[in-house]
Amino acid sequence: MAENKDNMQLNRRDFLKLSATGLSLTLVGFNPVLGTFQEAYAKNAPQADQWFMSVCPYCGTGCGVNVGVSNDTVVAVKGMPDHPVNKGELCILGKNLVGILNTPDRLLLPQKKVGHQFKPIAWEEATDTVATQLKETIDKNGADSFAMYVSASEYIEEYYVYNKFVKGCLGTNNLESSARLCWASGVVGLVKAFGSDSPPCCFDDIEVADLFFVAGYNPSSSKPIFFKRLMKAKKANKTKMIVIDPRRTDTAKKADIHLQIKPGTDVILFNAITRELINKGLIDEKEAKSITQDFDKLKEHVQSFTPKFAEEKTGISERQLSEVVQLIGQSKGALFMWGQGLNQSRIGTRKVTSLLNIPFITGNIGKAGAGPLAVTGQSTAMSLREVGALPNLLPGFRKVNDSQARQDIAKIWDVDPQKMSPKPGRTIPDILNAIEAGEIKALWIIHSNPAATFPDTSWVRKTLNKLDFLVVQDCYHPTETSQFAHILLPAAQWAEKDGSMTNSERGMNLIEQAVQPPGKAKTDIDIVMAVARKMGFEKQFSFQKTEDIFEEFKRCTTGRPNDINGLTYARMGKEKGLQWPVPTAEHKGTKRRFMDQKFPGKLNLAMNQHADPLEMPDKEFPLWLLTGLVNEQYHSRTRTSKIPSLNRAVSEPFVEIHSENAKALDVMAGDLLKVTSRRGQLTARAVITDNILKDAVFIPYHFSFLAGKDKSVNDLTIRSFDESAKQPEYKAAAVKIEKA
Amino acid sequence: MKLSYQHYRRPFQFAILGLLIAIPLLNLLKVDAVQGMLCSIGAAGYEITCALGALQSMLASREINYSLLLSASVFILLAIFLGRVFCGWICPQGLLSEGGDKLRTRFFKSSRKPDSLKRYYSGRQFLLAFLGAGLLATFLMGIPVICYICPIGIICRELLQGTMLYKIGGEIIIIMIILAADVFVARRGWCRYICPVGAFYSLFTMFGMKVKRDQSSCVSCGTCQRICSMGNSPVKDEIVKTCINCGDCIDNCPEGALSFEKPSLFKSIPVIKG
Amino acid sequence: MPSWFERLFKGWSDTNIRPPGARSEKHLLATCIKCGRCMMVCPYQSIKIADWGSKYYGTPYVDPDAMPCYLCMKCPEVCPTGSLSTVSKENVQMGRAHVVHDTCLSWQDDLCNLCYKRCPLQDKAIDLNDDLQPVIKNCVGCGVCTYVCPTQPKSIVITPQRNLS
Repeated sequence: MAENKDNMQLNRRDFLKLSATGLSLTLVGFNPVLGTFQEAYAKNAPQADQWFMSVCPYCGTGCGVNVGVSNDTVVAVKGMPDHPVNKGELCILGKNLVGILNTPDRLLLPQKKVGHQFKPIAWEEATDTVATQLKETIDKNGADSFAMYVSASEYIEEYYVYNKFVKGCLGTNNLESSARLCWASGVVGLVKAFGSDSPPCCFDDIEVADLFFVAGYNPSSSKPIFFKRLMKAKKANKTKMIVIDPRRTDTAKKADIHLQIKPGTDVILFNAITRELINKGLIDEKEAKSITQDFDKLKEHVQSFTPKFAEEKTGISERQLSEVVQLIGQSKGALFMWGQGLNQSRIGTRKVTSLLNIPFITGNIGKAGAGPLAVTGQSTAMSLREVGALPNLLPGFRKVNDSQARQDIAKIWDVDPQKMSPKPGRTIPDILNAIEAGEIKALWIIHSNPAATFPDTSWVRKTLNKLDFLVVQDCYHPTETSQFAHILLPAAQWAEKDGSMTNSERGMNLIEQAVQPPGKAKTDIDIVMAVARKMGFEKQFSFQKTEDIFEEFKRCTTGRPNDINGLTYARMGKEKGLQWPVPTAEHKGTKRRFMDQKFPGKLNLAMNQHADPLEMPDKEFPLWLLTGLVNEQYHSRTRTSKIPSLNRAVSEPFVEIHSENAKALDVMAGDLLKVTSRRGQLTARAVITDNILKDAVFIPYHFSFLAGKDKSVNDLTIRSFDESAKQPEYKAAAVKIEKA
Repeated sequence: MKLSYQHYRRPFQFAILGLLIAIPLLNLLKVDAVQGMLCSIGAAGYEITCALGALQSMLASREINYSLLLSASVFILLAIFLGRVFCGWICPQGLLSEGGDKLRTRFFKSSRKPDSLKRYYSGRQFLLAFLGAGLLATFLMGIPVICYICPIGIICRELLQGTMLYKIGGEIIIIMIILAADVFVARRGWCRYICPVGAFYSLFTMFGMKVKRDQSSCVSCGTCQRICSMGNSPVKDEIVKTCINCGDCIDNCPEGALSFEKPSLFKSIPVIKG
Repeated sequence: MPSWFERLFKGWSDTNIRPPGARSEKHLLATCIKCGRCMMVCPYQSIKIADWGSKYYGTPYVDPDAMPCYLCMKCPEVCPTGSLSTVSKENVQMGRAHVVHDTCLSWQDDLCNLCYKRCPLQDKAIDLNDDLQPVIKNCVGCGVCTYVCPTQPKSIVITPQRNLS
């Protein structure tokens, strides 16, 4: 791994220093390979012979990129000028995409664990082993003893193949995705409120809206291009912006009103805003009653959330609250955006549904420039919902426990509907619990890294060791997870495979294969289909090319909300970012849904109570731990750790701490701090700031044990999950801080 | 056997050198109770600064810095009470030069090569001339000129850089030149003829501890004159301000005729007997 | 030539800035006795000592490209001669950053505000204009922005105090 090599150089050179202090004396990273910058900026890059269209694989904004290829090597990446989402712009991650492809730690050959070592084997042997092992496990312990865990950055065709293989052929619904860690609460909230998973808005609403209501969301770090668009619109249209965040993030700095809320108390705030809106007569009650259910009940429910009560609990003053309420009341079209601040919580779904009450009663729904706009953190989290690569779904937003849906899908899949399980599969917390209990014996992980990203990682590592059979299919090795594998399968990654995907505004994009995968790596579809064929499902997996899979998936969407029968690869190549539903070839895509005010049913209002997180700060562990991301790294850094310029920016975790806490602990900027929770510890440098609430600390989540000892913030986080969506509660854990 | 001054002095010199190596290392280990080298050392809020450096700093900037005066007074007080013990007991360049002196003795074993410069110049005049020129240049140029060539500062800085930044600066050549000159040109030539630091402290030695000859027991054998690396002749009562109070002559006097006289300022302080 | 040999004669780069608290170049050159205290106390090893070969030899400097100053303000406290005077972070005068608009990603319409984010005096020294491009306000010249700038050559560079009028 490139990062390790750098560290080795550091060790040799700084042997004395390291042995003396145990750490390099840097705050934001000291990388001695200054000369070897991989300059990926299109401007300086070598001339490309050929350009292929693709979509950036990072966040859910879905920026179009052009991939420049010369001699079967990607040499340049440029923003796609005619793509409706980014119009040629790219953020710093997108600009550095070239650097992720040919890295020294690419997994090039299938490998098998013999003893404690990995030994290269042939593809034939690898797929044989996987097929026989899976068959054995399923024959012996039943289909539910197998689970597949995939990333949320795969393409529609890939999800479709996984889904067909696991749910249709193997007969278990244990197909889980890492979107669980990211947007599960948000999606469940949307489903609860709308009655179906239907993101109604589009990015063009940004320019129409006159108010942005941003809760627990920092797009300036997580979705820079989206944020830039927000800011452009804000400047041009004088759009107001309200930001709710315990940290004064860059997004908050640009806001007209920043509500620096006490962590976790969002439900109280939203209910208080709802109460004030109703009581001050700032809404049209008649209209609200016509589209929503139980309006009167809600009105009664929120009466106990007085501004005074809210001030006491959330730390937001009555004056600020009334300003916010006035802004919402006066707004003609407000966009409601939220992020992990709401989702990653034990009551994430409650927070989201409470937030959605506000657009519903103010009529900010079903019109241009108004409504909830959810931008996911991973590139294809929308696609995987359409395809149903989740334990409870089937393609086309169908439910597994619906027998009619199973029959429809079984017909398209050419499988026995009786074999398909009506029982929703396990979510990832459940899967890990089941592994610990010995109920799941075999796990197949595709491009995901739970050993780094799941809370309480030391427990996860112990659990993964209990598996009888773990297949890890990834493009890099080692990753935190790959070390536990019994079989490693080398997979192609972005730019090395083709497919299609949906971004967060339902926009469909075509991705062309730009280069051949390196070494013996194969595309995910090829690998899974090879195993499936070996297990006797030749008939179901007789696809010749990726487009055949897309055509079959199209048939699943007929008559469903995401009807894309009007799309073909050829059309997607020409018309970029068409938003579903696109039922016919003449249809021009659906920018905004529900413009006719016809919802699947009446909109559901939520009557929620606040609940504290599982672990609250106490005497022993007095600080509240918030985790989050930084611009320059992405998730568990399997990709971004390969790029020196990004690593130079942020190469190790840091602890953001309020200046008053720092004073009490006698901590200076750059001091090493030991952060301890009941589960583990982390050592990182202090960043002293007034941009965070007192008694809260912020640590970025990108680093795990491959980055060094005691660098993983997920060693501290708690295994607490949203009550209905099962999303982990990354943003609430009690910690204490000492000087290291 | 009675312990000679050498038994105290040599370990003391090495202890100082060891301290100079240990301080940066300890600092790296975050043990920073003592910080700094000989140019400026600080512990527990108390500061000691090289007096000549402080003087130059004030001369060059033409400002008076009272806290600097206070921290510089420590070495001056040391000189006032105990003479040039800084040179004999503390200075790491002194230790190196003494090593050079040993080498010189080995190279020119047959006859202790007499000092080639001694014939023309008195060390004292030379010393003061260099100091005066250095200070004048400092005042006129507005740069602490002497600090540029001061071997004590160079040794400290190289130890510091070597420990903390893993590099040695080119100025280490100055130390090598001084050592080579000490061995091949003049016996402890730097200390005797050039060193402005020693010259500066010699300005304050008039009241301090001195070597005294007991005329009644002296047999005028001349051992003290031969042994003195700084070119003094206790036997002729020519103990001038180049004396660094190293105690070599006292240790080597076969008749025990030499001893340290108590500082004339404080006659009440008991005499330190050899 | 072996690198250690080159190092032996590595001189002085004109982009070097002085540690925080230096009043003026002239004052620093006059008062600094080259004791190395500032270098010893620097927790980031930002402060280095100029090598043999120029009139700056022996005096402390910060090379923001190698390791910038994080304005912990520990060095002025230990300086024995007052070359570095104790001032507050905001009043430090090490130099001034300026943005090279031709290569800066943000000024090329790409969102990159690393310099702004890592700036120890965020919002005071560097701010973002309405187009989210960094603009220099009351910069003290610590060099963190230069250090983190992802472009090569750097798009934000520090002009040392002595080179400013």
